[in-house]
Amino acid sequence: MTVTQIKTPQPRVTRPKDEAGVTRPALSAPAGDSYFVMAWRRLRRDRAAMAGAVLIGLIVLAAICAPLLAPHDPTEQFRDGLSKDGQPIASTLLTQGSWRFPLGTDANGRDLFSRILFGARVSLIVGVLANALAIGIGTLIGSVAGYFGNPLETLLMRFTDIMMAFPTLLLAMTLVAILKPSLWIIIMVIGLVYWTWIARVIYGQVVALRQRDFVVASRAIGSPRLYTLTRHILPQLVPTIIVWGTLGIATNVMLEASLSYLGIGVQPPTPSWGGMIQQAQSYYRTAPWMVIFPGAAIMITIFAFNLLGDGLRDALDPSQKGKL
Amino acid sequence: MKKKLLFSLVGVVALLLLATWPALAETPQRGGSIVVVYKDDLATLDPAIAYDWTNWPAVKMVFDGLLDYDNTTNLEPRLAAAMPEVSADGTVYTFKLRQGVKFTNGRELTADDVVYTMNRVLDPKTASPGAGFYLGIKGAQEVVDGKATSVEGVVALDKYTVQFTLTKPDVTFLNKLALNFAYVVPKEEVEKAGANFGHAPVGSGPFTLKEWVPGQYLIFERNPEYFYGGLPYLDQVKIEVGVEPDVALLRLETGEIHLMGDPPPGSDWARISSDPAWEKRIEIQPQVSTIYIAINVTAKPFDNLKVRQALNHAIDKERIIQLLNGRGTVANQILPPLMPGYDPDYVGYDYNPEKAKQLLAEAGYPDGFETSIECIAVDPQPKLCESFQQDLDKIGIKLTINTLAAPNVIDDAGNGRTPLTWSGGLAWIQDYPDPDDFYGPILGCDSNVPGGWNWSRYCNPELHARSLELLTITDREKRMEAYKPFFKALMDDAVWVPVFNGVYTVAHSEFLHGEATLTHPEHSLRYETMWLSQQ
Repeated sequence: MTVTQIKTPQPRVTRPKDEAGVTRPALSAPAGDSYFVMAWRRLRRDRAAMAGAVLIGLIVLAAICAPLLAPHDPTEQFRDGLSKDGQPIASTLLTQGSWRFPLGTDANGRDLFSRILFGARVSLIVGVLANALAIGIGTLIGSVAGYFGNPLETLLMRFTDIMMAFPTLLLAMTLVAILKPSLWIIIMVIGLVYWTWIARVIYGQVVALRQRDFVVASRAIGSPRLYTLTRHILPQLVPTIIVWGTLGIATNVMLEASLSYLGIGVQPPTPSWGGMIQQAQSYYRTAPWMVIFPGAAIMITIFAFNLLGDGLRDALDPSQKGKL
Repeated sequence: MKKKLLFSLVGVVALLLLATWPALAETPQRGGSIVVVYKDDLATLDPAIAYDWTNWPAVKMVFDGLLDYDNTTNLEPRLAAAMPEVSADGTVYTFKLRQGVKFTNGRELTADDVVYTMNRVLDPKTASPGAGFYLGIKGAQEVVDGKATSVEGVVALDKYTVQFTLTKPDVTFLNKLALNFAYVVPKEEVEKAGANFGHAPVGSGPFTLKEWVPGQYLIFERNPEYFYGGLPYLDQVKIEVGVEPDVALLRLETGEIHLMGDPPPGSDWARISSDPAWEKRIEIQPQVSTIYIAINVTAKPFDNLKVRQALNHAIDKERIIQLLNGRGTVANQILPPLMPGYDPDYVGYDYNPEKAKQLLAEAGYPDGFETSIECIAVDPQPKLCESFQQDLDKIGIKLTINTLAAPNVIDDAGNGRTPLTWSGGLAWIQDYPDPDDFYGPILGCDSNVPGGWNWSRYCNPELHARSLELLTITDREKRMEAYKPFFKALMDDAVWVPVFNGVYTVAHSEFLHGEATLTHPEHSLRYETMWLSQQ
């Protein structure tokens, strides 16, 4: 394929497939290949991103099938899960012993493998739902501020700046201290501290978009402002939301692990990777498996979401259009 | 021949040296400074207030009482010149004070200071958790009730004589006077420092507090004018706080510190206790203690006896011993086995989840309920609480664990703000070797006050009257027999779940020694008799 398109200076503009009567800039791709199909093609060629996608698939599968895959109840504290003098049982990978506890046990004699599988559920639920909440709030505030202009613009964006000025973890800790920690509170708190970044990005895009001809035209033919915002501008933001939605999950998984590590996240006995590392911290010399395996789980999950997120950003970037 | 003589002379000298060397090593040496570490900061050094096992021994560094214990559990005179004269009916105690003892501000300690100290402890404004110990003194109740400003039964007869008059004989009275609460404070310093006295303490003890940076460290220096037995041996004791036990153990291994205030962490206990290199660096002492779950009898649904009994049947105590790496024994009653009055024939509540469930159903909670427990955040306590969580889950009770710093748990439990309290790392270690110490301060009506250590919020007037009667029995054997049904009655009321009797494990430098041991049953750590064989 030859490169014939004229590159437009505007980044990340999609072609809404269902819009009629709106003049679009010359961004035409070969007939039949929609923007998202093109993006998917580029993504498929990105080996790193695909590796990330496969890893995420496996993690999601492990989380969904945790009750089938886990050899034990993740909260059951086994009598034989501790040695006679109270030491955790080593991972089978290290001892080549019995497969009763494949990744060893924790300080309460619980099966580490089962806990990591069930911990994936907590991490993913928190990662995805907190991110959805953050995107919801961020998109609403960012687009309203960007589109409607002053005085809403100043009011909302200065509020966002103030919220951003708080260190994320400190703000989350304060909120959890006021509200009692539980899974749903953690999701809410993470969503409430993370939306500011999304609001900034969306705001910037909407400010750029509102000057554009198709938006002006929509207003000129008499569409109400809210209609223009939801029907013409929001669809343009979908690629951004997809990218931030993926990268944000990684950040939120980390934030949940940090909160749980500090003891104010997901509460025992619900298994959480961060909480498992917290319990393991005094055992790192005598029972290193307690910190290695949950640590690896966090690392792999964040790595996978970052790989996919980076790939998506490249694939959805219109300046890459036509490159295959 | 000459050569041979010389040879044998050298041999004899060498033998003599060899024979005396261990003796030299065991004679306490003067000098040196040590570093001790704890995880939590000390809350206060005010002898009227401090009542947990971290600040208890630190208060004894700065202050002194009329009496103190020798290396075992015998009382001997300290600020008193001799043991007191006791009247024939056992109600009047007359102490002669040691002359020339000075507070570290330079003023001589007199009988008036003793009178001031006792009035201060009983004054409701002081809110001393130890006030309950001294209600047997004539006029003490009136002071506590706010009807009098000074205690009638404590009088300075002259500059060096002080007399205590009791309403009834109390065979444990001298033990109570040896508690930190009766350690003598100088009036002018208390008034000068006001509420800050706990952080700027002045006493007559073997050490003085030189510096306290909250959250970081405390430095105690030897009191050069200390009057007793050439003590202390050490020049300086630095207590560092905010150090996690696993970090403390690492620092001990590298020789940076001399003593771990907290027990060695469970993560490493199996390793160090089986390592011969550690043999001289671990002291293991049986602790006269019972560690328990305090059940707040005023909190719903624990006002129901059957629910409390169900809890007693539900806890798997063997499991706790395993989680403690074997550092303890299962408890079935309030008194620990080393305490006189302990009933070896008492069976108690067995581990029986089925029975627990049945009791819950009878109490009207067939599906259980939700409740919460407070535990301190120091290992291994959160781990033990998670074990309780599993045990209670089996009988349908959903337990929320609140892990907090020690002073917060003490505050919440002492004010009835938590239904259940895990006493691990906090209570109850004997104050004095008498069974009354496991009733009065923690289950008696006098300690059921805001800020008191009666975490069960329990007051049984009938038992309370009996406890006062028991204090008047002078025949020791008869008295100890009488305590058995008394404590059984408390267990029948299921005010606690007694879980285990503790073992005191202390990890220390091989160069740090005590006169007998580093610990003492009444002091926990005993700094005044510690010494270094290599500085």
